[in-house]
Amino acid sequence: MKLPARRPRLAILMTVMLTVLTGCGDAGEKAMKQQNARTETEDAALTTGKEPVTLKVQLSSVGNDFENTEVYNEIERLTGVKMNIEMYDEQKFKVELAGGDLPDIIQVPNKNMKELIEGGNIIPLDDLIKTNGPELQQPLYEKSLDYMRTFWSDNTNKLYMIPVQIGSSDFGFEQQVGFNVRWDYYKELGYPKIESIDDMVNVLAEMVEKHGTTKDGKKVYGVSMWNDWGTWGIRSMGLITGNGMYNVNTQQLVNDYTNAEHSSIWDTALFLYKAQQKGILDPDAFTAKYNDIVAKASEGTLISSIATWPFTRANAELLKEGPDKGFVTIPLEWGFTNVGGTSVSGWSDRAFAISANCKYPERAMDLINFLVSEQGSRLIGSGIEGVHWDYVDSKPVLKQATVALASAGGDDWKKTGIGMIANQQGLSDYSKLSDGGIVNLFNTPEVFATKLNSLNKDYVEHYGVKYPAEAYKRLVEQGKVKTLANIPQDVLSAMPSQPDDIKRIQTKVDELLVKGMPVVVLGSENDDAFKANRQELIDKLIEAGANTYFDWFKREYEQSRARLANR
Amino acid sequence: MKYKASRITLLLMVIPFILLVFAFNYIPLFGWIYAFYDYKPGIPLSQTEFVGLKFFKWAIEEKEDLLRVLTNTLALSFLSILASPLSVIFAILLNELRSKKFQKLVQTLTTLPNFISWIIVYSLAFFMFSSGGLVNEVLMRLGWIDEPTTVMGNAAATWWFQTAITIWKSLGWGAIIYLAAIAGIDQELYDAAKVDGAGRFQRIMAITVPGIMPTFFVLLLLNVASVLSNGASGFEQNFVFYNSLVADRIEALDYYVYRVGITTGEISFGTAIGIAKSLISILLLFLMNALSKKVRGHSVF
Repeated sequence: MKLPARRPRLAILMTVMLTVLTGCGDAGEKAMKQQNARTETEDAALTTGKEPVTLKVQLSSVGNDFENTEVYNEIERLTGVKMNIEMYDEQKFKVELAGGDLPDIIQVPNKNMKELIEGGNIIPLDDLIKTNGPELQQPLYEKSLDYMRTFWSDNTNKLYMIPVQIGSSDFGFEQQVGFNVRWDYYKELGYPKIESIDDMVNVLAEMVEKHGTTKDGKKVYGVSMWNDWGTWGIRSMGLITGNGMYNVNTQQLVNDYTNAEHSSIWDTALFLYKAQQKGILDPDAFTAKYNDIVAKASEGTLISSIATWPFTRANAELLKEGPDKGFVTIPLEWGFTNVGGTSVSGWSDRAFAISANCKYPERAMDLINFLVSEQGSRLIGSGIEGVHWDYVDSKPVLKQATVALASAGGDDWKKTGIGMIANQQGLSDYSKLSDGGIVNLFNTPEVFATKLNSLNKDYVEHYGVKYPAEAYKRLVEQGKVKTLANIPQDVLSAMPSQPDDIKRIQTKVDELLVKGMPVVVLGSENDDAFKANRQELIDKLIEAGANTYFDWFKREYEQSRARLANR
Repeated sequence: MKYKASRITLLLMVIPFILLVFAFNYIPLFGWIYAFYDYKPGIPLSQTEFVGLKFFKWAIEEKEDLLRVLTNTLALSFLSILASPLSVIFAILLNELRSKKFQKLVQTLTTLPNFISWIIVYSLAFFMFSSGGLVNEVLMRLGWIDEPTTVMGNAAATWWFQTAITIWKSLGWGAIIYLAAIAGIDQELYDAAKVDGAGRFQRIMAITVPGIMPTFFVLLLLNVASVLSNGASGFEQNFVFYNSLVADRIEALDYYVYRVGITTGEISFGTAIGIAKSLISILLLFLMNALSKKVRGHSVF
């Protein structure tokens, strides 16, 4: 193995020399230079005397297209660890787990925590953070690591996992999950008020009535759904109404399977049924996969979705056709929007662990320590200091060129790697760092203002705000819309994995639900038939154990809440 | 001495293949042990509880699911077996074509689908048969239908639709072996029949059909043995075309094993069902072999 490059040392030397040679003009500059010296000393400390190694890392939602980006290379330069990235796939993970072939570093799916610890597949990190985790010994992480030892350790009270995305969260540039429709169509209808699921369907029906076919004569549908994300699709309406197992509206646990009035499942069913009644439900709504929905969105045969993602390509094309053409998320004055909150446990299914197969656990810890550190988080969220952002008046600020690059998108932007591994970022975007700035320097009103395209401008002008997500933010501040801040995330995260019998029940109930939902939606001729069919399916779910599952959930939730309160 | 040496050479040539069969077909059988333990991925077998026949009993308790899955498996396999003479007919028709160029062209075009992966087949099917697909668009423009048809989400049509796709994919490929069998028929038989005044159809019925029957029966027998794997396509076809609307009619045994074993994580239960499937398949093979021996006087082994 080659020895690590000595470039960082040279860099410090040059910085120090420059400081000495040029002197310190003003306080701001001094602070900036001190800042530079400080971070680069840390760089050196991280790399000094350590041989470069390559580690196999399994990352959530990140594939090897991140490799060789600027941020990736910087991580390698500063840690001496080259990441050989493998994207997490549930089935692949299970097979690797069964075969004892886990990569060096993994992000632990919460439901597999027990087997991973009990089977000795991941190693305790208590000693390693003392030797290789200086950042993790900062007071900032104390609560989180304590949480990990108590709740995510299979009752061993050892530290097995390092959380990511701890801290507070807030609105970004725009809200991507919500009621997505064509903005120009919505405008054409005179911005109708949407106060219920009925209103949502009515608005879509009117849009379809006015724009029933695409340019090439294909029939347009108002509503569809993708079916290849487990039960995500049939629960998706809860992301708008706020109903679900933990109901943000009532602030209580609700049996999502059986409570027809306060359930994400039955909200979705109602939405689809109403759409079917209006003749705007896509006949492929129960067969389409995510890519099929993207194809429909791109060819213009679908005009709504629960998220902006399927419309990314369509939006780029539509903008060429007119300044106000494109899909946006309409801020409703009720319900829920999927953002916000503060979490000690960080994001579920993302906490880092080092597998027992790892030959260089110390180096793996070096890498994790860096990724979750202030410096690592800033690098992941905002890019490289001096290249993508810099200190201006001792405050960290994005360079104008970086903002322009982000707005333009494309390959040049992708090559930077900025924001690509948010699922591995230790501190959340809005966490305040010791230099006074937040982690993600893109999340400032100034940067938002520079990102506005003609569609965004039309949108913000209508709502009288400065950037799209602010329309939601205002509603949240007025108390009209709930956010993740209204969900006890840390209690829910503290719940143990499901025991076998409960897992089996949930699988069975979900299976019945997925098969039964089309019957309720497509097989109901009128509201009475819908209610009757819904009740029939609920009865089946109860028979399969939906209440047993909920009782378990409620019991464990209460216990976790009590344990958390007693800490 | 020379004779013996050549025999040994032949034996040595076969050994690598025997080893391969042993490595890939027999060694995995040790995995059957998981059916008797309450195995959880990640926890070594030595720390896992031995539960005997618990998961086989489970299979019986889950009889509703199993019955549904078995019905689908057998229906899909039966339809595919029923369609197997199509390859024979196709091969005979191809063979009868006068233009060799055209024959090669048709043969190539019909063999190609066999090499298309199932995920592409699904995409093609979605492109053709989804609500906004080509078929619906053409039919609607012609004014034949008002509402799009949704054959991919139509439970009643599932078995037929899947069989049609299997036929489309395997017809040309299946015909190759029969074309080879036809080529092996003694040309003199045809000449003699011609002299005797037999017409084209008579020659087919009296010479070609009996000539390829042994091949047909061997293949049929092998198909019956794999009846629980629902024919040639099996798992992949099931996997890509599965959706909630047709779930009850499309889910066959292999997909079920995958779903309980890998998706749900009940590896032991999945293994138990896999074992049962293998044992029944072996039993079926022996039964069909005995039947063939009794009825036709020939058997595979």
